[in-house]
Amino acid sequence: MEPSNVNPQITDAILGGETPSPNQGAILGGIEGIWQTLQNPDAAIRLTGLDLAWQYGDAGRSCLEEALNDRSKLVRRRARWLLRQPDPGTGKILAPQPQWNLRERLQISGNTEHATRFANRDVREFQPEQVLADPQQFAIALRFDYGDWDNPNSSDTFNKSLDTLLSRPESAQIEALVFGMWGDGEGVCTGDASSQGLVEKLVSQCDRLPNLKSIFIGDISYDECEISWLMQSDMSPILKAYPQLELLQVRSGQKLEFKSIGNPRHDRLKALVVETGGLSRATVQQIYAWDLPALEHLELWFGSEDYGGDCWDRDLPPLLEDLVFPSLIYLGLRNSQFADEMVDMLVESPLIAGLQVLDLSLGTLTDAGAAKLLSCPAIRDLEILNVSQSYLSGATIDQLRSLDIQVIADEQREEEDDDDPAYRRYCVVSE
Amino acid sequence: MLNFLLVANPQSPRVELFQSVLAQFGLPSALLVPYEELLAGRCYLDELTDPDTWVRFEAPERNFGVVRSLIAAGAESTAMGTHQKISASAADRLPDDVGRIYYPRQWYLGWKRCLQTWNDRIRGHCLNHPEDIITMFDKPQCQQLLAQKGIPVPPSLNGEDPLTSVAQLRDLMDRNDCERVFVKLAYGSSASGVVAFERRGNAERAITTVERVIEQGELRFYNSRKIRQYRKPQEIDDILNFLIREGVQIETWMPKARLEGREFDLRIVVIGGKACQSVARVGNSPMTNLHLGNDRRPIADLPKQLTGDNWAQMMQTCERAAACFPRSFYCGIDLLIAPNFREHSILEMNAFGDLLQTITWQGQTTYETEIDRLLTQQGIPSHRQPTPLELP
Repeated sequence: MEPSNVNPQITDAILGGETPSPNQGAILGGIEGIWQTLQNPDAAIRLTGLDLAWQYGDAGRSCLEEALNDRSKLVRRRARWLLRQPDPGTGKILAPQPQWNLRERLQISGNTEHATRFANRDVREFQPEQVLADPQQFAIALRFDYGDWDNPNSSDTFNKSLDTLLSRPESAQIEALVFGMWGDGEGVCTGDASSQGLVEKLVSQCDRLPNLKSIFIGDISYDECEISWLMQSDMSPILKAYPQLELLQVRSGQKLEFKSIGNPRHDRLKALVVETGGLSRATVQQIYAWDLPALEHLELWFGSEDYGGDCWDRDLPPLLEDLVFPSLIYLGLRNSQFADEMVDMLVESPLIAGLQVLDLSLGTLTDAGAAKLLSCPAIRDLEILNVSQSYLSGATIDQLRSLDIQVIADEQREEEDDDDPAYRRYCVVSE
Repeated sequence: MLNFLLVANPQSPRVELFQSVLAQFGLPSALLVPYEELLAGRCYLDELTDPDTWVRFEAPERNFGVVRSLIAAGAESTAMGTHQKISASAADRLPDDVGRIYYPRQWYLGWKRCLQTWNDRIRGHCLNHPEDIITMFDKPQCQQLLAQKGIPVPPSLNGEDPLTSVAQLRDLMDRNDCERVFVKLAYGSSASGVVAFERRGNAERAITTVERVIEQGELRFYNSRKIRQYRKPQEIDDILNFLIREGVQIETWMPKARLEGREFDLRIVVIGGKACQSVARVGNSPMTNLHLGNDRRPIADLPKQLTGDNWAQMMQTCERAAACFPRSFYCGIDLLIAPNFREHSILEMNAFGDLLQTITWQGQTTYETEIDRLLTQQGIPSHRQPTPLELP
């Protein structure tokens, strides 16, 4: 705090702020000082002002809310965090918003099942012969089934179903769509039959889906098609065609792109979920290039080197240090083979403060990585820590539970006996 | 009064279960004849039966000595085949290697031969006729029989001549434009030797209950409760070649309807011509067998998409399938329901598939229903001591 001590403006503010009297004038004077502090060109000084504003309780709230638009990401992050901190005396929280609400993401344990919930809705399979009742209430799922019983080798049924759906007047009310296996009439979701055709169709027909807020491309379980065989494509056309989109989820990293030409931006996207068995650096860099000011939920499944996953902790600084997505309240760095390594960077990251949920599940987190988490004070400010399907001991889980936050630590795995340490632990989803 | 003779391995829990149900109905205990005694020629069924006896064969499970003897009996069979063969004396010395898939075709040939021999000596009735048991144990034959009777089964790729190599299987799949098949050991039970095989261009995978092990320079195959996935061509070739040489059923890998996001199928027990107990088996893999750690769900949990009409149709299909074996009083049927919850097909029939513990129908377990219906059918009044209500 040395620099601020020599700054008269800051000192004024502190003096004002420390005045315990409920005298209205004195409080106003203190807040005035804080407002001035928050105009200071030095971000470090503005940060100090935020802490003071918080001490004013309700009176400081507007300062903090104003700071949510600060040009410095650090200041924005700090303001967001402070707005959620309970007052030590009253326990009151200034502004509990925004609340992360995709709890369904904590139930995911791999790719063995079809989604039963998506975008906080029950998933309903689309039945072409039936009218869509309450289309906005459900996530409507379309998928190709192997052995379509009347015509076992026709993957064209998928496109016919999609055409039927898009031709329905009630489609205009649909808010959430789930796509399972797609087909191009020749093949299904592998090889040349990538998701590009589906993406192009959704883009060209976007006026048929004016209320679409959530899309999942690739709700495909491993028994239908392995994640490493699924061919994705460039998702940026979807983001451009659906400016109202809030949740985009894709499965598989094969050929997955988020092409970013110019200064790509999407104003509404709140959640981006990228589930892969191998996520390439190139894809991650493309995602980083997007300006996603509303992004609260980012989930990256890194997967295995054997299936195209070449990300390592070296690929995290834009996210964890430069705060490319400063509004995050859920961070899922899941299904990774470098969970312990990324913890080193996480505990130093200004992103941690302000997160409600940290999700490191399905990866190779061990007791060593968890010990580093335990020594990080900011972890205690989380609401939920998900470390399911990792490699943690019971004792470590007990220690994590003592943090007084919700710890989800289901289905811990045990290291396999192998001479080569690299083969003792795995991410859950790769093939 | 009904007199039962039970051919079983005494260590099988099915024995006590069956005896206790007889007691419930006030019937005398069944005379237990261990398979071991019959195989050793220490007793003969004509000396133990009279025209009023009801003979019940149980699964020859949990006794490796019986496995050895059946494989040895198969050595005398003249049936041709590309399967691995072992002499009777060597079979009698096979080490008990838990889970190992030993000479499945030779085992089946021995089993068939023994059942036929025993059948010739039975002087009473059989609950399930040995010839029916033999057919139900032979998957290709059983599925072919069902198909001939117009009962829906997954499309089979089995041709006139049995395959002899995985190369032929690949050809067959190419010719049928089929990327996904189930390859099932012709004579397996409990998902033994079952492979879900898929090809995509040059990539292949085999999801299977078979574990491939190389020990002392020898390839060995085991049944495993852990479902494995093989991707390396050499491993896939080894497993499929082994199974193909022993004889396989090859059929289209059909998608199943889902419950809680996971695929499921049904086990239905048909008793006295009527579909009775049933349970949904919800899988984490293409194999939904309950002993593989899959979850069971009551039929009441099935989604509303499955209408009463469609359900009635499915039960009728099961009853028609059971009727293909008019000399059998009961059977267990694995029924696949398509994702549209309407179409369905019979995956497998199992002559010993009537054990579904804790599942009841009209308050009765499978064994209870069997005795109850048999008494009714024979015009004998039932004196069943009601079992005390189980408190939740």
